[in-house]
Amino acid sequence: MWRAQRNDQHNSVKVAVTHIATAELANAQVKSCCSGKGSRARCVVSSPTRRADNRACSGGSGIRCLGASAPFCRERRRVGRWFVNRSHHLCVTWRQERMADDKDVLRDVWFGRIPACFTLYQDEITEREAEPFYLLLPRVSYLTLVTDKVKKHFLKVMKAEDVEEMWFEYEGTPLKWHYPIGVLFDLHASNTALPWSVTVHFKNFPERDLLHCPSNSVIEAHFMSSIKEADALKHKGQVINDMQKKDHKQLWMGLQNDKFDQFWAMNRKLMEYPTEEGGFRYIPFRVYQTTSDRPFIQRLFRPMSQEGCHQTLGDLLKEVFPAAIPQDDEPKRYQVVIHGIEPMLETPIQWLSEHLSHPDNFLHISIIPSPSD
Amino acid sequence: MSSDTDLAPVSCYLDEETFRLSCQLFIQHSSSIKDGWSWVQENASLEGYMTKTVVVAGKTALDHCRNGHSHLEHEADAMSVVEQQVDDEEEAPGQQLEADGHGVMRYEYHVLYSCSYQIPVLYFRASMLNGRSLSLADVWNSVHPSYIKRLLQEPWDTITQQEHPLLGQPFFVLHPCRTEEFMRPALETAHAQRKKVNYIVTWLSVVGPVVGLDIPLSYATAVGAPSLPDLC
Repeated sequence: MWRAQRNDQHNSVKVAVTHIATAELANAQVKSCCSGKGSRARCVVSSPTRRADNRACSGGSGIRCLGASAPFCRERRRVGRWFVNRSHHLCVTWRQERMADDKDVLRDVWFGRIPACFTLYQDEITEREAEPFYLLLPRVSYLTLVTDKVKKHFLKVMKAEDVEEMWFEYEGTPLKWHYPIGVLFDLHASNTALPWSVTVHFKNFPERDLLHCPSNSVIEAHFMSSIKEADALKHKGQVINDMQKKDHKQLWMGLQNDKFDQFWAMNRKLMEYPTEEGGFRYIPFRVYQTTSDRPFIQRLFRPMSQEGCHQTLGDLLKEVFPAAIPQDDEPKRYQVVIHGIEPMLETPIQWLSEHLSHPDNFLHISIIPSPSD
Repeated sequence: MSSDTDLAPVSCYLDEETFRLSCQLFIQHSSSIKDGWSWVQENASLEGYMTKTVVVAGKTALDHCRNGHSHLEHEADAMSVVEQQVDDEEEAPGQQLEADGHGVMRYEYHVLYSCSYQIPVLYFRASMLNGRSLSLADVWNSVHPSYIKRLLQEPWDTITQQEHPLLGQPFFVLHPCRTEEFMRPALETAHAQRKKVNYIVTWLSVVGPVVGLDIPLSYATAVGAPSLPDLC
């Protein structure tokens, strides 16, 4: 919504921006009001929390506000009022109008990346020295789905007969490819220096620890199985069963090809719920920690209490892992990490399930000991 | 009293409490006939599972013909080999191997409760006495041909390798998707006849034989259902 008032007496234009705007959009409005005004317009940017900043703008019939380079001009979440006064000052007042869109969170989650360095295990037989291979890993994907380049790189220096199924290890722990990459990182290496140093093996597959992954269809089957299980918890399986095979395929292809829109076109159906319910039937979640034999904790947990209150992350932890909730006078023993961040314990679990779930529709929560530094 | 035609819809699902009690009754009978089932408790919580270990003579000839090939080839060829067997109907379900220790295998069966699907799930793994684990290809080869055709048709009716939710180790799992399909007729029939049914007995009698697990007939008659107030 734009309102531009031209005040010829003061040679000013007041442009009120009541909606999300970029500096370019605001500038276009000013331009339309000020065509032929003069050669230069000075952009003065001020906000309640910042002192006024003068930025020179190039003028003429195309007024380009160099204030666009100021941090909060680029900030799409701010709105402001622009003035062009007699000395061609553009006065901008910035007010924070609204919070980050929830959809921004979905994008940030999907496009999260972890820089990794892959090194060949020293005992592998090579024809010449193997250089480490660097790769940005998608947090929401799976190791065996995104490491074809890693395999190609190391196969260049190895003989075919010395190559069996590739598997990964971090500091002696075999990495479970069927866990999302971000979960593996948060669980094992989140408080260590980047890049994440992963060791690559082509022999002595640890049969007792790792699932085999002979082809992408195994990853697909595992992924779809998780989605199905999540829907069983959220909707008794009704939504996923009503979808056609091609819809299931679209979910997988979206993940495989890193296509956010393609994936969410289908996934949004799995995030719906009857309004009167207030949320899903049960929240699909898994809590991981490295200090127990048990791989994860998974329980039935309702997002809405009997009285209709939104349950929080803290409520869930109270039931499933009470030690993670810091006591008043004690220092925090554990970090509760989702997608590499520590959400506030007051966050409603329904919101977390809708926005911070992985593509497999599960909320994967890592509980790691607080760093002692 | 209500007539036989007045039937409340039968739930094909199992709550965790009924699962535990049904397993306990199952294990009681197992102890009396020395069938080898036991209960494993997971620490302080009431969570646990039923388990049995069986040692059998070798049923798979795969490792003999495939020595020296990579594991990957096993997996890729397994499905086509198995489908060939179904079409040809030449192969007997198993072939005895030379008695040099290679033919003896150790099968471990675990019956776990899935809170997501509210049904029991059968996990199993097998290894040779020398420690070598059975591959998915070996497992397919040991499934009776009459079951293979059905398993091949539905991708979610199949046997896959999964992580054991309590032990964190790879096991094979018979996908629980279709449990309702075969449990419903059995449960409705029993309900119509006012008979109480032990869910675990009925369920395991159907899924067990698919993966080589034998459930003696005495379970059907000897094992009762847990007494719960809402069953009538």
